[in-house]
Amino acid sequence: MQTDMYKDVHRKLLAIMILVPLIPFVAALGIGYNSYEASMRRAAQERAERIAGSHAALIESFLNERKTDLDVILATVGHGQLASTQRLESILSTLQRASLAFIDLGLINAQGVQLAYAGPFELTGKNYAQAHWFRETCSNGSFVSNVYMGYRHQPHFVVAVMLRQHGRKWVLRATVDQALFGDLVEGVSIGTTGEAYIVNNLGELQTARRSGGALLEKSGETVSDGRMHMMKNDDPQRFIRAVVPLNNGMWRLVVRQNEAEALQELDWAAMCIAVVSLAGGAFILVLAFTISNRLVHMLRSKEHDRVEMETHLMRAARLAELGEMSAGFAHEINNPLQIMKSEIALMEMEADEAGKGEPITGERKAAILDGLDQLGRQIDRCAAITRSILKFGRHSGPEVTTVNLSEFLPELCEMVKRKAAVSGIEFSCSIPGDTPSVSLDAGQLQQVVLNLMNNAIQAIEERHDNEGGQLKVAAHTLEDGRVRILVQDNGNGIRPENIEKIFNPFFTTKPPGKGTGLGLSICHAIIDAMGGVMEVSSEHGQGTVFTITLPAITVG
Amino acid sequence: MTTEQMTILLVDDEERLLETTKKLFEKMNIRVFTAQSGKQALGTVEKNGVDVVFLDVKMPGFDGMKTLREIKRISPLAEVIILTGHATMEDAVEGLKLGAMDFLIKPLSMKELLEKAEEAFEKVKRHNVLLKSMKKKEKS
Repeated sequence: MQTDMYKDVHRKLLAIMILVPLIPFVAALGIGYNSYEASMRRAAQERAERIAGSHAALIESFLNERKTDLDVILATVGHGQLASTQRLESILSTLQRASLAFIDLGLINAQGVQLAYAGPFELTGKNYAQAHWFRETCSNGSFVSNVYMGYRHQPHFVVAVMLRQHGRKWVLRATVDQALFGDLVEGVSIGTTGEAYIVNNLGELQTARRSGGALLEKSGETVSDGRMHMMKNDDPQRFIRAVVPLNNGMWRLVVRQNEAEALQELDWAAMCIAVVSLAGGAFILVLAFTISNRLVHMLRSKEHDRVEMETHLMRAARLAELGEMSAGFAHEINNPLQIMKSEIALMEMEADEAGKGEPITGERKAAILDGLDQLGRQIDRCAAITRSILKFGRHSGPEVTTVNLSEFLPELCEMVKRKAAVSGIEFSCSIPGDTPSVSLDAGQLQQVVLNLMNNAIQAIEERHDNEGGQLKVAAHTLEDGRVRILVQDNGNGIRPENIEKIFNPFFTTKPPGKGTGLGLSICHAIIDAMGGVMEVSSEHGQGTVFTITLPAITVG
Repeated sequence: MTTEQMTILLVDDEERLLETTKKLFEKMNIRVFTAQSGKQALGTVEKNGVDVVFLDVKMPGFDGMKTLREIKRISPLAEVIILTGHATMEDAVEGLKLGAMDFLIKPLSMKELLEKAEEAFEKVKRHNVLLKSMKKKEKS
């Protein structure tokens, strides 16, 4: 039972010693890692957004410049001259000197017919009335188209502006070299996986994408309601992504970087954390194991010391009790011895009187036989006394056995009967034959009951001197099956102010040197350990009743 | 030597002890009374007058010390020898203070008892002689 208690204590101690430092330790590492990750992510995101913003501005200004070029031409040259292919070609070559962006140039009338064209293809006379870019230009005044293949089967896009003059509309259209435009975007790089590309509202790539995706391919992203959506299935890798709208919302510039690369430093941090966690955790475990082991070991040895001390005290109390009893024993042994001496003397005298060689017969023989018989009786008396002394001294270690109270208590009474008698005490011992058995150490119970009886005799002697004392030992079974033992005297009782203290160790009302004050406290401890209750009620000058209530062995 | 017969009173709560010891003393031509309690002893002392008393201390009812005090009051010249199975220093000191001649611990042999009794009787006789001479002086 004792070791189990310590195992439990050990388990709890260990759990506390591991959990208490481990929880804040792990929490600190976790929170640290999370906030570090968040700030890394924010930094990467901010970098991507900054790059996206500046590039978007660059691209917007490139497109605006191209529109402005056309605006200026339309406004200054006039549609009449532009209708001439030669003039148009000279303007194109002027433009190409400034920027290589333009591939060709064409003037289109309100009906969508290309009146004049300068460039590498033969497109004069083509009708663009149904072309999307043409209609958009007519309604908005200017337009930059998506990249498309068109008549020439090469990816390109057009920039067109419209001029309204004398109630007629003219559209000047130029094709922009996609390769050159693409360089503007594709040149962006962040780390090894960082890239920039443009998608249109349909999710088609407007520039090539380094990580895979040719021009006009679906990028895996769509734009609707002005917002960009990812297609989850096409996006197995996670990206840090910045998106900026371009070209009146028709395009999106996407700058993205592989998250794994952007957060590369996190791996290092995670590894550090793992190492620290393992080392710290191991340290905590080792510390918890050593300290809890040591503590439990200390507790155990303290408990061992306490038990040893208690055993010593009990042995001391038993010796004190034995000393108390020995006075009575001496009296009881010396009396029969005196009788034996007298008997022997008488028998010798009878034998002497008979004379030498004369047979001993008749009255003399009867007297000698009577003397021998008396010797036998007195020897038996002494033997009974020594037996009871031995019985008392014999119990060394506590040993729990079944004790039959209906036999045990009368035996105890027998031990004090004579002592009570010489003190002139009327002693009654009423133990019913059906008193149940108890399971406990007989020696300890004997010590307790004897102590109570001896105390009672002392209290009676103090009050009554040699007459009128009454000591009653009784036992009865309670309704709940427990058994109660009463030791009742009509001695001088206990003062009310002392009654609370009598079970305290070292409390005594005896003069110094007369009592240790341990008797009753040890009795109380013994009965407690047996799972019983020891109580006292007393009236000063009237007498005292001690009751011991013990759990009985249930019969049946 | 002894012209007068010695009278002894044995006080003890052991009946057999009284009986056997009485027989022994009587064989030595000594008058013996016995008492099983203090009260009985006092009655005998008052009625018969005794020279030597062997007195037990632990007795039910009326204990030895009380008996000793009373005997000394009734018959101051009687010598009392305390004979007990269990001696405490307190009892011994108190007994001697109250005028007991000796304090003996059981068991004692018959020879020792007899010696003590005779010693006590000698004392009683001396005291009696002294008393008589004092009375004579008073008369003359």
